[in-house]
Amino acid sequence: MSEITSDVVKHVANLARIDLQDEQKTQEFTEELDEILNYAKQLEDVQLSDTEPMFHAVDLTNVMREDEAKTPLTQEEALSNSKSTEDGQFKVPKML
Amino acid sequence: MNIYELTVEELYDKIQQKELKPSEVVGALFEDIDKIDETLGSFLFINKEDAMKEAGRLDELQAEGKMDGELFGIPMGIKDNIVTKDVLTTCASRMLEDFRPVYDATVMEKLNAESPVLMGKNNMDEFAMGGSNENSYFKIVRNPWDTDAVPGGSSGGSAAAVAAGLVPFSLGSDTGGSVRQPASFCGVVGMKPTYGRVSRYGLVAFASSLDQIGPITRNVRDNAKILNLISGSNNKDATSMPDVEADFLKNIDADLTGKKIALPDEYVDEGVDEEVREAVKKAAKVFEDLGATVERVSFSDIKYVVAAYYLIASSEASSNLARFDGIRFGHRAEGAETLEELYKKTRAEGFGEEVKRRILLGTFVLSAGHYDQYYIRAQKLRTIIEADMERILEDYDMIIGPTTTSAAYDIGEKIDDKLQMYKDDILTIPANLTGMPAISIPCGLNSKNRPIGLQITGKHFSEAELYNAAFKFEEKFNLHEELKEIQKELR
Repeated sequence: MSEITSDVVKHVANLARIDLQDEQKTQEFTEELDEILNYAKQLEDVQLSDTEPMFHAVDLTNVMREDEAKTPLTQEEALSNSKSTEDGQFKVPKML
Repeated sequence: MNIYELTVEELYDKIQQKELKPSEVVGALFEDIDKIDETLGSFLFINKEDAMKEAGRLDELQAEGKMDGELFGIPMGIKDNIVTKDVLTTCASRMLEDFRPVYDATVMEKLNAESPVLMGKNNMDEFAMGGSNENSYFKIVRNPWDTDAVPGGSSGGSAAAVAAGLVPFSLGSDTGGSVRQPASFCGVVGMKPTYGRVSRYGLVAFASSLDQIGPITRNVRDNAKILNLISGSNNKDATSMPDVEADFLKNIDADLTGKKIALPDEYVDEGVDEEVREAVKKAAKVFEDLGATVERVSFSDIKYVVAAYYLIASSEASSNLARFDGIRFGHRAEGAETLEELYKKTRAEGFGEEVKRRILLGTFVLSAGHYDQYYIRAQKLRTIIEADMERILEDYDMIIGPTTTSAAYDIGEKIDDKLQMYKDDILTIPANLTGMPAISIPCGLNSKNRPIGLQITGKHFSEAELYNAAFKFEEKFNLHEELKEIQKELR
């Protein structure tokens, strides 16, 4: 068994900022994640201690470009897809 | 002449020779879309008004003889996770239901410079997560070959629209097979280019170390032509590779004599449907008839790729999709009193279940105490898979096998078994984990008259060789006439 319980799923959902809405949904996600992580346990069968992880498919490091001034999006464009703005800024509910 | 049957190259010639006006082409295909896309569901947004206006403008240029652009007057569909300036881009998600991008993806800038006509945005699995197009928030897509069957996914709308003759080409995106698998299910051609070949700027990110944009077309030459137009380094994507310019059409007709092709035993073992196995073995014979040698090899570590892929892709997704917070763009929940509540409600309402499942999985895998056990292990496995494939490709020019373990299945057939659907991606995942290019072309039909796809994988930046092999194969076997019958029946 993996270590997935409904409490773990609730904790992870909180980290991911997703409201799970109801107990039944939480239970379903718990079962599905448990199944997937148990399946992933097969990776423990492979001898990997001397293997370096590969984070990317191509070897590129520090890709640089010229530091040139360019015209960015206008303020109006940048705000155009927001549901709530005020005085040219994004508006959010209270933070504390 | 049926306009819907014409390929990109045929349309190009007929427009250049003034046999067809751009507005005739575009108008005819909109009529077809009106008639049959209610059934197929391959478009989420139909760009009729702007497209007809653009076609009218191109008509005038045509009359003046000013037909510049490799795609002058050619209609196209675009997967709905590629941003199109001022044109709805939803990722088939409630989260982006009314999102109008304020800029174009690099691939759109490149295509638009060639004067095509954007017909609309193609349906997909939400945020490109899925293999059957049943995860779209808006509607499912049906397979043109059999409307009871799934078209594959996540670029299911793109593949179905191209197969049905609603557009001669579309762009998809491929993170674990999302261009090749639907191309296989719909009997068309789909290429996942080398990682870094095509700029990802403006592709709504799913798993950034795996995602690539690729063309879906009805034949191999069209596919090579589109990749010619969209590839190249781009300073807006730091992972796009510099100095890899290539012309994929130049040597497409080269002789295959002496080419060495590998067929891994694991690609034709009992994990693969028997009819698919037989079709691939026949395809191997076709390559031998073309002068190549085909030899069996072993690729035993392939059994681990699904686990590694879902851990890596979900981890990257959980990070990438953090941007959907209800504030700057996309859905925003009503009535939240605090910022945290706004995030949680917005994301609960905006994301579908598969997206949530993967965000939760990825967040777990990256969380304290599990990172080494799952994430690092998966990334190490990736090193092993690459070494395995490079070992094979030291001795062989390319690897062939099936694109998928079975042909298209019925709508609803697998929806309740998530893990089985994940496992179905086993044959397409290696190219994403390693960044290697891979193409899917039709190689047969099963007893239910559903297409079977052949996958050809090669070394990094060997797309020209893959197109060459695919083109020579296509000359010996293709489904072009069968597809025309399907297109006719749909109308």
